[in-house]
Amino acid sequence: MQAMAALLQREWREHLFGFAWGPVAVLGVLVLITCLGLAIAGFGTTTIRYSSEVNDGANHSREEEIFDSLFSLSRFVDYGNWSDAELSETMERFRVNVARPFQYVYIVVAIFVLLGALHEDRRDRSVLFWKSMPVTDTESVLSKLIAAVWIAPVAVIATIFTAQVLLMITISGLVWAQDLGSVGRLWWNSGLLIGVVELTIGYLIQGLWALPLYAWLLAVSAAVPRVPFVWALLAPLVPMTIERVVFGSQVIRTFVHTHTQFAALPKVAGIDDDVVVPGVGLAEQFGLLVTGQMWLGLAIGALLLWAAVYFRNRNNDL
Amino acid sequence: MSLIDARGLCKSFGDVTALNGLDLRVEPGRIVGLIGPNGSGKTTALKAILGLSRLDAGQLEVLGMNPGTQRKALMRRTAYIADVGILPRWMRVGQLLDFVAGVHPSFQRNLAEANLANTDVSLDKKIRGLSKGMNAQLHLAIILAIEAELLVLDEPTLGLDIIYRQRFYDSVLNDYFTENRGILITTHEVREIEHILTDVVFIHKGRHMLNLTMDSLVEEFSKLTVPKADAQAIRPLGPIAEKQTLHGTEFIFRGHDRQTLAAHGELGTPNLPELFIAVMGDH
Repeated sequence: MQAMAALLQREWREHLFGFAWGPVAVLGVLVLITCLGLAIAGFGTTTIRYSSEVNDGANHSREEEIFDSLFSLSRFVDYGNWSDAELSETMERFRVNVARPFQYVYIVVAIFVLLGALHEDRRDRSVLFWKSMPVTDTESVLSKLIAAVWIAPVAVIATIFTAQVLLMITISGLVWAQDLGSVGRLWWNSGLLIGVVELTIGYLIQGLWALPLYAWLLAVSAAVPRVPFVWALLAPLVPMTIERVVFGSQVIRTFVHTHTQFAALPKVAGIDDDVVVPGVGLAEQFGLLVTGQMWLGLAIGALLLWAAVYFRNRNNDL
Repeated sequence: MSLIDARGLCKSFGDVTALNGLDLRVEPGRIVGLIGPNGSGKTTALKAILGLSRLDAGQLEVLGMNPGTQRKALMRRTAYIADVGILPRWMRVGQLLDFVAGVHPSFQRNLAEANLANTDVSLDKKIRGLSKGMNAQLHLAIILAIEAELLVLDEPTLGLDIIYRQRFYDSVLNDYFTENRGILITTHEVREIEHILTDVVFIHKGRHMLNLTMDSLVEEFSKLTVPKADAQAIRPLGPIAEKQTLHGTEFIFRGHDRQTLAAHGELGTPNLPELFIAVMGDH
């Protein structure tokens, strides 16, 4: 256990910039946008009108609901008239919307970290130092997976929570300044803590759900001599194309698509392109664990992890 | 028990034969130099010994273990330094010590810090910012703080200036080496390690060409220098090599009676580079 702790600490330190400063940078951008929005629109004023003359000579006006598109802040003008159910639904949407940019930045960081995890040290030859330590290749590969998939999200969740609290303070300012209702009721129904629980459970299960993707990235990182990104992106197209041409089916493509979705992360139910999209909460998250698709993904993920260890064992340089 | 017991090691990469029946033995209390030209199979042999490369054939035991299947256990008792560039450049020195302390049960961090106290390497420095010499000092400070029975050195002083090279070997000899420990070393700088070796193995095309102790080198090999005019008379005695110098002609003999040879000219013992060229010259 002590060795695994040291390996995880090593991974954290190596990727501190992406794991910690990435989400902090997103937080900084959100704070900046919020401040700019407040400076431009002020509390309670969320609609900005633009007027312009175009070629037809007519005067066109356009409305930009800046805050609406970002955090749904303008909704709070009607806050005093909401039922508890409406307030909860709005707060849930608020939490999910705030979390979204952090999740996108995290997945990009995780993909590049995993792609470089077993490749970069072969390129700079430090792999010879790591392998001179009493650590197995299996421990080494697992530490890289655990750090990127289950440790890094701790920073993501912490910064998401911080962003939600900061924005809640902003909304509270709006409610208080406009005398729209009880600030206490707002916080009581904010669901911030359950949101943290949902995110924590979500990332734990999402790591399992997307294991084929993460293990594939590690296997490519350990196996190829150069440009792992290109290999990781293009190699799956070969079996997909063969399957499509020979059998006329898209089983592999469907599998890849399914396991690269944010299936376990909190989501609000809604309609997207006339299709009803179900929400994701604790029930749906735990429900994923008993699906056949989850276990198929785990089996394939385990196979790809074995491949990563196999290539790690054999490839010591480029 | 031998620290390293290798018999008939074979390894090929496609059409290229890297090891072709190599035999090698390292006992406790010995410092063995594995010496050969580029591409002779030295690094392949070291990688096999460290469990970093799989063999096609042969028997290999290191500290009584199979390096291919027991690398973790082996690395608890073995230390390895390659050329100076293998420490992770993104780390700080203190972080590197944290890591080794976390994964290596026999690493004594206090000892490593004491070793570093005598150098210009401070704990908060990034490894990227260290010179090659400081890099080697850091790696050696870590190795010296590990209770390893076997130290494997692969071109450890490559790119270092002469002062650092000398300090490096002095530290290895004075601070690491004991009668219970063994060292296997490869380097091109044969002259520099000649004085610390107890055994030497010449390797060429994956085979050992010569395997002897430094003590037996004096008994087995002789260097005879004669005036150029007398060289013709010496050749029938069967030297294994000859070389023209400013002082005359030098002959290297193997297994000849030294007293007999002394009657023909100035008799001495070849140094390792001379012996290396004499033995490997024909190949």
